[in-house]
Amino acid sequence: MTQSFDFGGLEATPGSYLAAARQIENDPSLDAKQINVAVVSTYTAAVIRPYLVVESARRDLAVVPTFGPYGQLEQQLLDPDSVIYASNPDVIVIATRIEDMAEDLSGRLATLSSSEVDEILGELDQRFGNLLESARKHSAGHILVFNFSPPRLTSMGLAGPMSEHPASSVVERANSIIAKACKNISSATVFEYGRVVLETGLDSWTDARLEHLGRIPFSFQAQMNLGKALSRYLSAIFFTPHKCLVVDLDNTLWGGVIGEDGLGGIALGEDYPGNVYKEFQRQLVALKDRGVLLAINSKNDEPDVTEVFERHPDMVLGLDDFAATRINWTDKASNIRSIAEELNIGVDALAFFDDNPVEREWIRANAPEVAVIEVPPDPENYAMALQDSEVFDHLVVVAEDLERAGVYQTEKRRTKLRATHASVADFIRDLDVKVTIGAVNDETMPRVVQLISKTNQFNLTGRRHTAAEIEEIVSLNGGIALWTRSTDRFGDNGLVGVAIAIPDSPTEWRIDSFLMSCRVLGRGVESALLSSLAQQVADKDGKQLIGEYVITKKNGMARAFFEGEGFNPRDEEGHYWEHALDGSSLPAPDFVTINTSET
Amino acid sequence: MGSQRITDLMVQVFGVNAKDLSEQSSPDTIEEWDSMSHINLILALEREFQVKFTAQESVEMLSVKLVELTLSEKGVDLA
Repeated sequence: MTQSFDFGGLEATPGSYLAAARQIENDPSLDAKQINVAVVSTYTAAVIRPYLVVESARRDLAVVPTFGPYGQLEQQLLDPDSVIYASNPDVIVIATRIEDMAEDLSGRLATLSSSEVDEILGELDQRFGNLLESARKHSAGHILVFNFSPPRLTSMGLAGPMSEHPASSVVERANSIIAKACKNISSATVFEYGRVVLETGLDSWTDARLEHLGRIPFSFQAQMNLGKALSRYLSAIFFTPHKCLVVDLDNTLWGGVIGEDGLGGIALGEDYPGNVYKEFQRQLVALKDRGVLLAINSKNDEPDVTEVFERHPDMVLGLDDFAATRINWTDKASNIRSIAEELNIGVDALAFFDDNPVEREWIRANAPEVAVIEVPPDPENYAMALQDSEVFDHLVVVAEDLERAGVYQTEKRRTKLRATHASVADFIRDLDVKVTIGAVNDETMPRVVQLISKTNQFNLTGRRHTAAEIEEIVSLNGGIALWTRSTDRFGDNGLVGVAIAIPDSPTEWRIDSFLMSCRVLGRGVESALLSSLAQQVADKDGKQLIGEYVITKKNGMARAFFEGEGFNPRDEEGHYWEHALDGSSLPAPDFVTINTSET
Repeated sequence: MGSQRITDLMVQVFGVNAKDLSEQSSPDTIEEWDSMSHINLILALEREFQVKFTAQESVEMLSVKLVELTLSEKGVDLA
């Protein structure tokens, strides 16, 4: 039977935590994973016990702590019979501080030469190396090593930052040593003590009385925050982090409702309130960068949303950043399950972020495996709420994590392409497309010029040639200008496409213009036209065909055309593409019948 | 015994029964009142009564009676 401690009555006081810890430790019926945590330290760490126990219970961990006597790192970790190893630890915590580990580095920086600093840091390196190696040898438990915060007392006063060895850089070097020592040992990670102290503030962290009465470097506030931070790390050690963040859109990625407020009415930008949403989007990008998948679950009309992603200048996220999207009016629990299915991960690997408390409650009730993040009412607190939610706590990020979003994105494109091709091929075979292609002449020129002037979307370069220019290209430059008509079983579509190629050299031909009426796109007509163009260029001894793409306001849909036709990029911008002309290298689709017009 | 608030706090901090506490209770009579618990008691008293003790006061408050006296000196009304 699942039971947990009632945290409702817990107050942020020593008495409340002590009583709660006692209750938790004495109740074996509580449903939590039991873990033995052994702490070795250079100071009295046992004072954090109640906070560690209670905060861990909050994270479904029943921690049984053992504290070694202070200042006995070697005695405890080098001796296989020490109380630390006798406790059969699942986690060994090594809690030290720079004041204890390298007194001169905190107190005598003014008098130390560079080589002396190096020497002390070298000793520190050696010492951490030995301690960790020994801990690894005598225990299979995870090793968690505190790094250093800046010392409370400065040795150089205001002159410190410009001195030869600023305390901050010495601490940084020492922390690199600690990180390196952890990397050298399996299942050893850094506990970022320095940051936990920073978040609380050095002044609030320390209590001079406790320091001197009991060698306790923690104020009450620090004890509580340290207990929280440590249990967060323990949770990250023992529980798998979530894999995907599912977000709402309206009042989550931007302020307002796109369906009602429109593109110009939503809040997103550099000033309040738009800047809070922009910050939140940036944080999602950072999550994605370290391997967390993003997904959209939004009640909206998809075109409205697409418009925001494609046209709003302050959008940080692009649709490509999302591994899955559900933009519809289906209930969000059904959507979230189908997202898990699409991404091939468990529903319990998803976390949900939605400003609407009703939607959060709906997910809690209908998809209880999902981690529902408690979203604060004021959007300026979204970013911190996400960070504090702990659902994406990874102790290490590996190369695969950094590549994950890209892998999913590629797979998404592949799937899409496959799906489209399968259906389009069937569809087109059914259509019985017939294409006629011919050289532009007096008879076809008016329609060619008209098509050039009004085709915006599938127009690779957007060049608006006049009749005179086209005649010049053909007669003076020796270029090729083709038109195409298409018919299918539903009727004649008329003259729907134009292609113009110019020889930049006898062997290298550039496609100066390529355009097609949208209503026939995706039926092989554009491929047939390109194929004919390539054939005619090859007939004139052209060896290389260069595809040119000039981005305009409306031709985004044509961006991938040359890539799809097997051209190779010539530059990083996707501006120039090339294809070698060696016989049958650009075949027309087999389902299109091509006639060549002689007139 | 004097103050119910002090008794309640000590029950919470030491994990003892209220009936085992008296004005004469001290680290000598209460097993759970060790040096670590004493630190916790000091911090708990400070939050409960919104006062601050010095290190010197802290080491001297070694009985319920002395706790009451020190609090009274700081103007806390325990009645």
